[in-house]
Amino acid sequence: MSGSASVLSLRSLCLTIGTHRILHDCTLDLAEGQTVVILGPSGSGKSTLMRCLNLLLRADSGQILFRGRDLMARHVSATEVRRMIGMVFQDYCLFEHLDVRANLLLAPRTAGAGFLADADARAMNLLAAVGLADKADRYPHELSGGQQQRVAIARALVMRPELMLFDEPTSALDPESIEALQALFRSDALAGMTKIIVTHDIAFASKVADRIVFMEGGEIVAEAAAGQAFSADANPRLRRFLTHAMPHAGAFSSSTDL
Amino acid sequence: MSLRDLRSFVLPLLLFGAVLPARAEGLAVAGKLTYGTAATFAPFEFVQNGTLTGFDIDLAQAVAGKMGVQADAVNMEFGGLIPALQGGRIDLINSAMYLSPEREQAVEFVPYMTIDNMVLVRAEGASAITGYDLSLCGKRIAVTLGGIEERDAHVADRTCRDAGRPPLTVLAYPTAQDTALNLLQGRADGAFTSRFGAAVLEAQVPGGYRVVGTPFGENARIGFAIRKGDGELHARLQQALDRLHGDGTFDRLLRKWHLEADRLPGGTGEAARVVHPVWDGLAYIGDFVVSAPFLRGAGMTMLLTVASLVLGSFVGVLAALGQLGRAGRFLRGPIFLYLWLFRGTPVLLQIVFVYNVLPLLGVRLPALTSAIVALSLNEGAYMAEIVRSGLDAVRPGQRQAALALGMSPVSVFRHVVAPQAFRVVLPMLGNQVIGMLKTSSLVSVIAVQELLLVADQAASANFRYLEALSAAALYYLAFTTLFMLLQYRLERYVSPRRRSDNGRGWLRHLLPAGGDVR
Ligand SMILES: Nc1ncnc2c1ncn2[C@@H]1O[C@H](COP(=O)(O)OP(=O)(O)O)[C@@H](O)[C@H]1O
Ligand SMILES: [Mg+2]
Repeated sequence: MSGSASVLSLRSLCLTIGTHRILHDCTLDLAEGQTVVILGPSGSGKSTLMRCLNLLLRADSGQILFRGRDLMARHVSATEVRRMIGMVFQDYCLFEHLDVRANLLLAPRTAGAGFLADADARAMNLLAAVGLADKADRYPHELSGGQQQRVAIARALVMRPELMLFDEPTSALDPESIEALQALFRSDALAGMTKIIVTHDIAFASKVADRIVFMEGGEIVAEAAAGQAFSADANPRLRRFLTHAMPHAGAFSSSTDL
Repeated sequence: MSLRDLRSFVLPLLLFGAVLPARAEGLAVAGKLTYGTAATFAPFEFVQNGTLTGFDIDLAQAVAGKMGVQADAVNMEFGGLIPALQGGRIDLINSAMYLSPEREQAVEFVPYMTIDNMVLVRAEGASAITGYDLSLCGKRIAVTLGGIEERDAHVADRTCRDAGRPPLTVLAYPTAQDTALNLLQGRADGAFTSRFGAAVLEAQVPGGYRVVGTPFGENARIGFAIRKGDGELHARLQQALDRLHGDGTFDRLLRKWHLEADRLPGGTGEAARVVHPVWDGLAYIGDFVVSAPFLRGAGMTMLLTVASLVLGSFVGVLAALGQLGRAGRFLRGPIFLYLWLFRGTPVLLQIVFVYNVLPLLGVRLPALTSAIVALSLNEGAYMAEIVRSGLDAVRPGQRQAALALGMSPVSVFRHVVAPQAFRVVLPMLGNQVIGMLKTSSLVSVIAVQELLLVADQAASANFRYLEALSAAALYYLAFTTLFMLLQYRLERYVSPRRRSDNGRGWLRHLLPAGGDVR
C-alpha cells in the first residue's frame, strides 16, 4: 500500500450521523487506471463512502488525498473537486427537463470557458462512444434504463474527470444491458479510467474488477486482488458473503482466473 | 356579500379610529373638499353615461362654491364610506346617508333633508300588502342593508309579532338597486324605499312598480357625515347650507331632481310591464362593451391582475426561499407570521386595511397603489406555499446529480431546481392568475374603478342590469380564455411530455380538468 503511485488515498475516514456510526476508519489506496469494486451488504456504508469522496457529504475526520492533495482541507473548493471526480448514481438522475444533448452540456456551459471549449464536439463524441448518437434530441423519459445510464456516464465524462464513481450500476439493468455496460467499461471511453464501482453483482464484479474491497458495518473488512478474492483462500467473511450472494458460487471459487 | 364581510371589521376599525386622532386635512390647505359617495342611489347619486350625477352631487358643488373650495368626488361602495372617512381618505361622506344612532357613534352628521319611505310592490298582479301596516305580516320585505328602511322593517316585524301575526322575512340587500331588482324578480313580496327612490323607479321601469299606502318614518334625516370633532368643517358646511337655503339654490335643486316635499309617486299600476326585446338587449351589451368606462374598467382589471401577480410572485419566491438555508433560521418566524396573517384573513379586509387603516399609522397610499399592495401581499402568501411545494416536488437526486457534476449551487438552482419547480407549479399558477382576475373586483370597495364597479354603476343609471353585467362577464371570460391559452402554451413549452402530444389538448385544456396535472 505505498502512497506514492496512488491517485487516491483514503486515510481513516470516519462519519457519524447522530449516534449512528456510518463510516469507521476507512483506509484505501487506488492506483492510476485501477478499477476497484466495493462489495458489502446493504447498509454497510458503500454509498456513503462514495458521497464522501466527492464531498457531497463531509466526513467527520480522516483524509482524502487526491494526487497528494487533501480534499478535506478547508480551502479546497467542493465544486472543483467534483469536476475531477465524476459520479454515476444508481438511479441515473438525468435532468428530466432537458434533452440528452442538453443533459451533457449543462455542466460544461455553467462551469466556465475552460470547460465550454469544444464541449459540443466532446458531447457528440461521447454520445457516439456510448452508442447513443441518434438519441441526442430525446428526453430522459423516452429512453430505456440502460440508455439513461449510458447518458449519465457520458454526462459525467464530458467534464473530463480523473476518477469515476459508480453506485450499483447494474442493479436496475436487464442482462443484455449489463453486457453492454461491461463492453463500455472495456472500451476506449472508460478502459484506462480510474474507477470505483459499488455493486452487488458478483459476476459483474468478477469481470471488471482489478481489486475487490469488502465493507461491513461502515468498515473495510477485507481487501484483495480480484483473482484472489474469488479463490478458495480469500478472507472467510468475504467468502461467506460471496457464497450467499451467488448461490452457484462454487462455480466461481474454482475458476480463479477471470 | 362584500358588505357583510366589511361589517365584521368596521366596528374594530372604528374603535381603532377613536384611539388614534384622525388627521383632518385637505380642506384649508389644498382648497379641496373631497367627499365619498356610493353612486347607486338615484336620484341622489348615480352614474349616467359614465358621469356622476344627482341631487347630492349638485349640492356638494354648490356647498363647495359657497365655501370657496373645489368639490372632488370619490365614488366607492357604500360599505367603504365610513372606513374611508375614518382613515382620512375623504373629508366627508355625501351619499344620502341616514342618521342612525349606530352611525352617530362613529361619525358626526350635518343633516340637510328629511326623508320618508314608502312601501313598494310589483305593479303586475294583485298584492295583499296595503301599506306600512299589519298587511306586511308574514311577507318577504326587501330593504337596503344598513339603511333606515332596514330598521323600519324590524319595527314592523316586532309589531306583527306583538299582534300575534306571522313575522316578516327581512331581506337586506347591499344597494337600493338590488332591493328593487329582487322585488321585481319576485324574491320579495314588497320593498321599503325612499319616497324619491320610488319616484325614480316608477320613471325608469314603467309598469314595474307600484307604491301602496302613505309615506312613513317622516322624521328620518339624511346628511353629510364628517369625522367626529371636526368642528370647523361642521360650522363651514352648516354656514354654506344656510346660505344655499337663503338664496333659493337649495329649492331650485330640489325641483331639478323632483324632490319637492309634497311630491308623491303617482303609481297607477295600469301600464303594461315593459319587456325589453332580446335584440335590443344585445345592442345594449355591445354598446357597454365598447363604451369608454368599460374599456377603462377592463384595462384597470387587467392592470390590477398582472401587477399584483408579478409582485405577488416576487414576494412569494422571497418568502419561500427565505425559509431555506442558514438565514432561514431567523427569517422563518417573521415569514410564518406573514403567511399566517395574509392567509388567515379575508382579502377584502386586507384591502380596506391598507387603504383606510395604514393612513392612521402614517402610511398614506393612493387607492390604486393600496389595491395593488394588498392584492400582492395576499397573493404572495399563497404563492410562497406554491413555490415551496414546487421546490419540494423536485427530486433530491436532481440536485445531487447537478452538484456531483461540479455545478455551483447557484447554477444548480437556476438551471435544474428552478425550471423543474416551475414546471410543477405552472398549473397552480394558472389557477392563481384566474383567481386574481376575479379577486380584483373586490377593490371597488376603495373606489378603484375596475370592471365590476363600472358595470354596477352603468346599470344603476338605467336598470340595464342584465346587459351591464353581461358586458362585464364578456370581458372576464375573454381575459380568462386568454390566460388559459397562455398557460397552455407555456406548459407545452416547458414540459417535454406535453410537447409531444401535438396540439390536440388545447380544447380539453379550456374545460375544467381535475387529474390532468403532472
Ligand atoms: N443521512 C443519513 N442519516 C442517518 N443515517 C444515514 C443517512 N444516510 C445513510 N444512513 C445510514 O448509513 C448506513 C449506510 O448507508 P449507505 O451508505 O446507503 O449503505 P449502502 O450503500 O452500503 O447500502 C445505513 O445504515 C443508513 O441507514
Ligand atoms: Mg447504496
